[in-house]
Amino acid sequence: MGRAVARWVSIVVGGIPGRVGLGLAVGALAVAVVGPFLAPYGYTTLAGPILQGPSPTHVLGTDQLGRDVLSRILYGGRSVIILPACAVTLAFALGGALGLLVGYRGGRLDQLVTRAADILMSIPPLLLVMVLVIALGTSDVVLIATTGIWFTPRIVRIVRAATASVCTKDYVLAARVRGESTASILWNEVTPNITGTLLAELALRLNYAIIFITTLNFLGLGVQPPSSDWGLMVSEGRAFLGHRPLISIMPAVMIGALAIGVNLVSDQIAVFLARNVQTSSRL
Amino acid sequence: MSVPWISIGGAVLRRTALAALTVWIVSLGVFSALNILPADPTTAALGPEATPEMRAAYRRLMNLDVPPVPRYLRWAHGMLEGDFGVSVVSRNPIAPELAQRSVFTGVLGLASLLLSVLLALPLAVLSARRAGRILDVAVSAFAIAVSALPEFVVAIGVVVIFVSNLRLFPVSSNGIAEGDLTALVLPVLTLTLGAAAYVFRHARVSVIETMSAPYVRTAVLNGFSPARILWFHVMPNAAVVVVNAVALNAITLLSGVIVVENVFGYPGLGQLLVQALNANDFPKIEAVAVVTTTLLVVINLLADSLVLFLDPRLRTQVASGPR
Amino acid sequence: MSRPPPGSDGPRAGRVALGAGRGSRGEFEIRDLAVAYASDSGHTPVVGGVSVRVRPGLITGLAGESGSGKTTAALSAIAYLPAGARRLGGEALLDGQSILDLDRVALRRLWASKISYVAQDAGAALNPARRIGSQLEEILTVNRGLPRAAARLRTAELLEAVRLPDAARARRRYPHELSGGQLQRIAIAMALAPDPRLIIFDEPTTGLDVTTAAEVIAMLGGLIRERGLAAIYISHDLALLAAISDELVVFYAGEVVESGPTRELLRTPRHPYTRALLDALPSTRRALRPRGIPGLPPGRVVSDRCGFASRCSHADARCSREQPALVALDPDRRVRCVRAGELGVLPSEAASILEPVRARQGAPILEVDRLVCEYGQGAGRIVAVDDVSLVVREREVVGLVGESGSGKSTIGRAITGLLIPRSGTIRWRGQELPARGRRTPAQYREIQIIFQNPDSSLNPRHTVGHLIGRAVALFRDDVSGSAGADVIAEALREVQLDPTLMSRYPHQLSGGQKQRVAMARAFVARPRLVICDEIISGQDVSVQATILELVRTLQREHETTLLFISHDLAAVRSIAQYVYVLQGGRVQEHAPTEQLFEAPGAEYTRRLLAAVPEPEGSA
Repeated sequence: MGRAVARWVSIVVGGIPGRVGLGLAVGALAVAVVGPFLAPYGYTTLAGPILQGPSPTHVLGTDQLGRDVLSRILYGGRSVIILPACAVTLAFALGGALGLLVGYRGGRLDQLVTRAADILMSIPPLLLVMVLVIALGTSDVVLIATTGIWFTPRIVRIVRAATASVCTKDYVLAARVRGESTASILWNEVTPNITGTLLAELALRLNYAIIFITTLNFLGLGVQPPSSDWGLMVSEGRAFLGHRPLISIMPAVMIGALAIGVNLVSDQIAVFLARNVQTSSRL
Repeated sequence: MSVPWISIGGAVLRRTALAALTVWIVSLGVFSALNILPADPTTAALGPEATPEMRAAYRRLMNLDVPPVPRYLRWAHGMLEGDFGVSVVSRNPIAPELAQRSVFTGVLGLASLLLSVLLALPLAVLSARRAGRILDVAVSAFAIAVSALPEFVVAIGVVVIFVSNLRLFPVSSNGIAEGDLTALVLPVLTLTLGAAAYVFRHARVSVIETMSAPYVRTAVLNGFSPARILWFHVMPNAAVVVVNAVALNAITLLSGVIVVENVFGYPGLGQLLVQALNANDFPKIEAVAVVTTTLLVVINLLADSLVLFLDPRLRTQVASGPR
Repeated sequence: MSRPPPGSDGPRAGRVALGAGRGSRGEFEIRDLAVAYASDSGHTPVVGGVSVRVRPGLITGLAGESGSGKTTAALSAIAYLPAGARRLGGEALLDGQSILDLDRVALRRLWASKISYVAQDAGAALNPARRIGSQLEEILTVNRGLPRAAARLRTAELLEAVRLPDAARARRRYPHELSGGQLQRIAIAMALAPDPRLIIFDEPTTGLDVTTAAEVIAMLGGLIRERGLAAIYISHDLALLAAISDELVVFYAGEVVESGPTRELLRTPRHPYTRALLDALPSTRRALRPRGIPGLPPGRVVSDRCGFASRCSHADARCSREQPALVALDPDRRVRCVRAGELGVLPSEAASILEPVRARQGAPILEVDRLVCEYGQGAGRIVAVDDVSLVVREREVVGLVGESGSGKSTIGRAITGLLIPRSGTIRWRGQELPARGRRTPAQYREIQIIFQNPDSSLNPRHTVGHLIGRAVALFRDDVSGSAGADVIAEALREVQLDPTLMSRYPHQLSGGQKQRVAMARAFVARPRLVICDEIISGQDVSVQATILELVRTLQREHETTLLFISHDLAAVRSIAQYVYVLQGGRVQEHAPTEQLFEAPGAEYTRRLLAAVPEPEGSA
């Protein structure tokens, strides 16, 4: 397992986009995780006069209630990372298992699941989640659950397709001829050959989850004030864009860095996979 | 005649049926979410501090005493006839407002879609031909960055550049209601950037992949000029992927529309939806949900049918029936 | 309409060699061509000092195995350098005109009107989004400047000339609607369309059925000679080249090692590699055991010694010290071998099968009774196996022969339990095998299968040791944990692989090595039956011979029963004792090997045998 991780990390940093992306993503992650320990003030602390520009005591200035902008940003990354990560993990656990099984078995179940996934995927996502949020309230759990459920059909499709294509290979047939059990085949023969696809999709989904959840927060349908979630901060700072743009711009930049970083990593993996399909079995 | 119209027609019919099914399921889903999921719809709508009188009034207005199934049927039937119910907040019928805003959103969406394709496709072809060189690297980097960003970040960026600093356009796009077309510029620009980036990436990859196909080598060895090879041999094959990408794009575009209308105050369906959500105006929410889904599903249907028409391989699969 | 079988004097009798001597009309000459691939680690020469003369009205064959440089040489000679390749030197002349230094526009004109190339995979070489007629007409309108109506007429003529059935309807079809054979004919029609001086055929019949290939080749030969074209035919199949080419050029390690008139060269080879290639060929006309060539080809030009020396049974000290030059033995025979003079004509080293034909001994171990297998449902249903019964006896090698679609592979899948038959029974050692559900552990161990493509049958994420080790863990109860590694090493040695390969991944091995790993994996289980499903197709000729040798050795040593499934009749003759012939899912004929090949009973078997080309001509 450790060897596999090392291998994929080296694949990601093998190209410039991957390196830049990893740097950006890790940087944003660091800010989100370590930020709260480094923040000079609390995120609800009224630390100074309102709407001040950058100064030695408030590097990024203060917002409309007098809270230190820098501190709020340092505190605000948690929800941007934890919520999407949980949602994606949930979706992969559900969708991955289903996709593996259905991709291997095929047949009626496969058709049924694919049709269901198709229908679910043609429902506009923002709509779906917003409606559910209204019905069930805006808690973290609801956000994670609805985002996860929105992703699941897509992941089922991707995992199913990757599994099905692997299952046409003779080494899977050879395992069946040997009398290996379904679980053993899926774990030993199939999974090592779809990790690349899974990783690329994981990064992509993470990107979408980040976009999605920050957008919900921006629209006021996700995390609520006084949280200093980055998306929420961008929305709250809108009124002051002419006067004190940093209140909106800085959290937007952080979101942008994270989103672009994750996307670049996913791109790098996808490019690697595409290139190596031709040279066969270098995966 | 080698185009099996009947079989394509059959396939389109099947997809239309599926599309109708999707809309129906969404209407069911939305209705259930708002009426059945919450333990008490009145609390969900009015908040925990509502007085018993308010709750009773609400129950009467929304016919909550009627069991869910007949209520749903009445509502669905009403929609098919064009009656989308009455807003809980304003007591006005929803349909007229819905119609007008649909037009505005339609204009916004269509303009963005068209512009994004017009911008992205030529760039994609140019980039693909000079893959790896400066133009390609620069444009690709920009496209990756923009397509990775949430719409609202792009919107804020547009506002900062064009409103705060360049002071070119108004920040509020309300003016469209009076026919002020400059109100369209910023929202369209924001949406187009995101959509164009997305289409560009897919189209570029598709063209590059097609260019390395064996039949391109055949065309080269037949002595055809690069221009002929590009337009008559590569593009017909790349077109299928591109159309697919554009269709998928339409879906993300719709999500982006909601955000963009919110940021710029554009009086379309997206703004309506967010207002309704914040006001817990359930009938409006249901109505908007169904209309937007129908829009989406229709776009998908058109794109799917177009793809069927374009790709000869799919046609024969369709013609020979399920295997 | 009966056609004389290839290899006999039929197609070549009565031809006229158009043009002779230097620089005559339509002649194509390659002089001293050298090509290298540039990479980070310097450049790798892949074609060295190649000179070939192609005379109009004659077909010049370029023979060689994969990596020998024949395709690179031919493409580079018409100035189509693959990506990353550079021409180091030499020139090519068409009608006396040098063509390798032309600018892009002139080159395009050359390709448009004077030179045509027919690629290996016709299906992939045609544009899937455009109709056949449109693609053909495009060549005529753009390259020949014909008006639309004339182009359409000419297209029809061309499709008739290549004997495409139902030419009028085919025009409106898309490539994916046609079969491989039809596509190949269309590709040839496209090559003829601009009325070129030179056509290069790059393995155009690979992947086609024997009978289809024979028809395409016969048609081809006729067309070339009628129109007086200069033609190059690239192939790894010596027997096929014997049937179709007039001149032969043998490639090894990027160089020409022997050349001359085909018939003569194949009857009296002077270069050890040519001899070894001939010895690696099994035959349908004689009972032969083909011999493999030990070692691997260098895959590049070797410049300080003879590239074949390490694998050559005639090599001496000089061969490893100096690079041999291409020497003319006769006006039209050239050889690249320092020992050519002393060695003279090299005799065959292939062994004949000496064992007399045995009557079927041994108890029946596998009995297939009235098997029916289907794919798909409803209107798209295909009956792949239609009421087939066969018997395999202990320690026997049974051949299952047929073209694609005959159902032979399907039978193999049904026996291994990969496919559920519609009806019929399969009995293994007297017990009926369950159509669905699990088998007994003994049944899983006793029946093993080796698949056709080792790239697909070996999990790319597992090491060689893991791949074989899995079989050991599952099936060798006699082996305790620690002894596993020894057993794996022994299994590798049995297939003549170095045990240190245990830690390698499949992509680090050559095609032949991978297939041997698959064989080791099958035999290490100590099975009673090994199903060989087209295990040699897709490999180089010399590698095929090695695999055949190995599988025979393993079978004899472990006293295993073999079911050898193949479309290659000659290979089946060289290894099987009893043969079943399949067509369209039915058994056409079955008999002991000698009897089937010497005196075939069924019409289909006769037709099949007649279509297979032989290097020596009809004996």
